[in-house]
Amino acid sequence: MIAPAFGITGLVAVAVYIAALLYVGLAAKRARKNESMGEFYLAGRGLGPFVLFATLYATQYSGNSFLGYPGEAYRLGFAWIMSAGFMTAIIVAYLAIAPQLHRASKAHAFVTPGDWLDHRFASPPLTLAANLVFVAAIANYLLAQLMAMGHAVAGLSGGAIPYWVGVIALTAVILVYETMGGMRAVAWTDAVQGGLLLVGLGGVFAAVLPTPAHLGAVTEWVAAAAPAKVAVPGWTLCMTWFSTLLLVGLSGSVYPQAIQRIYAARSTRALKRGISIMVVMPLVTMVPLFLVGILGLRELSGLEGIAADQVMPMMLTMWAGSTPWLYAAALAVMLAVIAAIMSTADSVLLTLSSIIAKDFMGKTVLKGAPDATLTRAGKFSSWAVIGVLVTIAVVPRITLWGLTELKMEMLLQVWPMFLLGVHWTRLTAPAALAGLIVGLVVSFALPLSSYARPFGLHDGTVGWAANLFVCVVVSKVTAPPVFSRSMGANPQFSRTV
Amino acid sequence: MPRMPRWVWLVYIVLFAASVPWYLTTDDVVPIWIGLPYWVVLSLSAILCVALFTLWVVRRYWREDDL
Repeated sequence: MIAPAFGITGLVAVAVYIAALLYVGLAAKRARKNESMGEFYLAGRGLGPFVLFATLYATQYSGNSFLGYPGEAYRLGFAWIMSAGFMTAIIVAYLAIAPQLHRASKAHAFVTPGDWLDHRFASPPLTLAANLVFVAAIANYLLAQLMAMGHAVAGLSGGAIPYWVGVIALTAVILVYETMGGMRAVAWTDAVQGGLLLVGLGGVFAAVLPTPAHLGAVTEWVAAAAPAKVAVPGWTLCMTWFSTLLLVGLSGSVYPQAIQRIYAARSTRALKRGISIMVVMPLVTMVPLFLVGILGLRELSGLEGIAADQVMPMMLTMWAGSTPWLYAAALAVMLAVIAAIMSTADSVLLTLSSIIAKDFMGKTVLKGAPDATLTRAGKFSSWAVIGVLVTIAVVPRITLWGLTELKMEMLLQVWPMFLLGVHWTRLTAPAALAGLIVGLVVSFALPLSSYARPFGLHDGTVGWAANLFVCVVVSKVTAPPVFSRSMGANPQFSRTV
Repeated sequence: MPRMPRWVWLVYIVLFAASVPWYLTTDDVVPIWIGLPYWVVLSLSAILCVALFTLWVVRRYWREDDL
């Protein structure tokens, strides 16, 4: 994927980076106070503003942001500036649920997103259905990250280190530090990785920051060579733009790993500060990546289809070969790409492990077991899950990448039960479950029909609208929910959740 | 935390709607502002407003009432 422009220095830099991650993992293990689930999966619910911001940032921006988004800017043209919008929409949507979820999680010691659903709806079938959606969506996401790790290592070494070694070696590193330190290790390593992301972006800025005159010349060149990439988007593209704002913004806010970070915040102040910094990061992050793709239009003309995903690696190679300063900047970006992939993979794996241990095993085969047993079961299950996923990842099947898009459309169907659940006491469990099922059926059935992507909207967005409609209608015709402590729900829900 | 007033969400809808250039005509010649097509600058300005508005909303309406 990436030409061997970095030589032995690149490999030494990766080795130092990995050693730093393992050291941080060890330090996190020493800081752990006990074997409780809150301690292992939520860092004792004590993340301060800086670490919370770093882990939110490093988790939200994956390898896809660094590799896929410049490629998308290259393919689509200037309309890809929508990426800054949808990443900002995630934070705004987050704001709609985070204050209430954080407060309830402090009061009721939640560990998983399913804990809040149990608390609000007291409906095992609903929690199970939502958890199945979570697991299907994020397992697929994790698989994509593992494959990206293999590609990144193979590219950095110019093929000297095979793809499969990259997958297994970096996965092993993640497993070691995560097993040692749980969420604390993940969050602290995210701080390292988030720092690398920012340094890498600084490198991109330094490399690509064109003067308005230079950028104007590039824009004029693109306008002449490919006018459609500069023109004001037409109606259908605008509809897709709106749909993408909804799809990514809303589904991104209910990623289970994002919800767990709400629970893990030390205080409301820490969460407020973390979110306040996060809301400016889309502009800081997406604009340089967007510009890389746009500059690539002139520098690397002729890339088509999936080949456009090579824009970032090819631009890095070009810069690395020009001056020592740009070599250093390109190397920082390359490390940032690996950091972005690993920091997303570790967070997703930890969340997956917590859902399996607490929501699946803790309610069946390990019902009533102490926290330490569940935590241990979670560690073992994460090894098992990663074993299966690595086995799939080392024999890559390109179609699996296509499934990545589906995860957003699936997660979007979980959003109504969180937003309406937080703000509308009338929402009932049967309504939320019926909405989820209808939303999923519409999202999966539309692509198979002749009505796929109507008016440029995503199928998942249409499913989401149907989901919301069903939630409201069924809530109106079913008995209002009764909040009682015996059901595990909050009797003062409307005031405190 | 008190509920945010509804007008806050209305402002968000207006700003996000402004970030999508559906209201512009697809002219043949696209003016260039600070090196970018003018509609990209308008879109980025709307997103910057969303970010600044959010900073204000978080400070103004999110009460620190930890348990």
